Amino acid sequence: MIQLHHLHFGYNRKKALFSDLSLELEPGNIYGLLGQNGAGKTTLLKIIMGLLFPDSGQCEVFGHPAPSRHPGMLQEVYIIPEEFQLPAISIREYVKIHGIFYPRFDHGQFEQHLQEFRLNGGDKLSALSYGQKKKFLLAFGLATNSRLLILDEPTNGLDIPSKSQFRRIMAASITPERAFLISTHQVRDLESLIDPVIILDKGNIIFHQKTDEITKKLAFRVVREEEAEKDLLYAEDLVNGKAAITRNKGHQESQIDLELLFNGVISQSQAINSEFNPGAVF
Amino acid sequence: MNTQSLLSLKRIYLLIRRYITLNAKATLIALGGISGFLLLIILVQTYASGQVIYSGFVKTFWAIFFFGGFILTSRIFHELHSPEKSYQYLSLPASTLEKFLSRWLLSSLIYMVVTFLVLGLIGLLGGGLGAGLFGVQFHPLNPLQLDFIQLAGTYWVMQSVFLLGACHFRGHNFLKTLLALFLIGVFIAIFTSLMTKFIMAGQWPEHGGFEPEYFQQVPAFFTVTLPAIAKTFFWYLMAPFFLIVSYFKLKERQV
Repeated sequence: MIQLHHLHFGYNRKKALFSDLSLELEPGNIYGLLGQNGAGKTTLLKIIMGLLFPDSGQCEVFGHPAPSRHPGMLQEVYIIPEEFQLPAISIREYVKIHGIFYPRFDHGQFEQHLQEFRLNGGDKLSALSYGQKKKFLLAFGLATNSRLLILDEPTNGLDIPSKSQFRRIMAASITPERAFLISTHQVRDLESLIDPVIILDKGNIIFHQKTDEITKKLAFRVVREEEAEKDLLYAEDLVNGKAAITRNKGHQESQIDLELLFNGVISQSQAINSEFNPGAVF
Repeated sequence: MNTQSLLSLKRIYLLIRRYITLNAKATLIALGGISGFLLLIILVQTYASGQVIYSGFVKTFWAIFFFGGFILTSRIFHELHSPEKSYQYLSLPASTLEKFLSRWLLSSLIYMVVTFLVLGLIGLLGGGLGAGLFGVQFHPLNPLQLDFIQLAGTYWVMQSVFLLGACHFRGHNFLKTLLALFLIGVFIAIFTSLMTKFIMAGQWPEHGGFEPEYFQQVPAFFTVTLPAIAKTFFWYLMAPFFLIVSYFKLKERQV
């Protein structure tokens, strides 16, 4: 579906952001792209969308090189960026002039999402709040039925009920034919939704695993201060102990603490990755 | 819609419709204001002269036609200059060729048809109103006269320069294009002065201009062939050249 091979990209010639980055995305998944500020998450999304061109390497999206921005490719990908500006027209007018570019745009589905988000077709887009605009774009993006929906920080600006509504709608909308790629800092908002987890650091993908693999290999638990853990991979201080990632020797499934996993991978990438690929050099 | 094709007339139509919808309000306000102003010129001139006169109206129309057209063309890709909007335009499922052609048609052919309709309608309305209000004889204005068509043709060619400016510069496109044209003009003036001095070596006047007989000594290449080449370049090569360069600029555009 999406293939990135040996990608090189930099905003200036002296400093490369991505050097030899490779990634494949398959349908049926809700990919979570995590990373610190400046790790290159938004840049990667823009490269997949054909909005930025790699310096070298390949980025193929549904059989088309992404920089070609081929209509056949663009109708299969929809992006909801973190920062956007919508025109001063009504929702209905917007859908009329944009929906027609997407051959599988479903007006019924759009109306249904609009109702769920408590938006009205007659509402003027420029008069909506940031969160409402985001909900509108989400409803539109889902209704395009594009095979890849890219979301950059989708829960930013959403209130608490809207975040759970967002998770519910996203979980209900995934099909074996389509994939969602979600870039976020708000790991707690999307903990229950994303699978697989991709962690980007300093322009490299340092972790890419499915959640069932993660729970099979790693255990997330609270250990006491004095508890000597020979299987400890990473730990963070808590008030009454330590939040720890350990080797899952007992093969008991635990709930993934995505924030802990992220921090662990960033600081102990080699130790954690070696659990998934024994003998591999990182 | 054939999504494998890079050129679909339907998508070009949809892109034109999208642009008109997004800019309808501003366009209608500008059109209304300009039409009212032009109408007023006919009425004032008719009242002042005691006959229906279109000269002031026509001169003002052409000034607005060129100036307005170049500004419109310079702003035709304004969506690309804002990072919050450019993603939406660039990711819209249409090819770069279709996006380019739709905006070129809007700023050339469609603009010309609309402004000529305004010219004809305001001429008719102003002349008719002037004649009715001030009791003078009505004679219509022909908006399709030859010199008007030639002026429109000049716009058609020169507009392509501003289209390149619209694709190339990231903001203040009209002023930057004007500045670029000015600098190119200065360069050409200096170059031709130096060339003239070189060709007229030894005959360069210290004070005042050349005597007419000096020009008879200049090779025909400079007096006949070169102007003919310049004319051919202007009418047949300039617009295609700038249009092709503009298309590739748009194709290379990133957010």
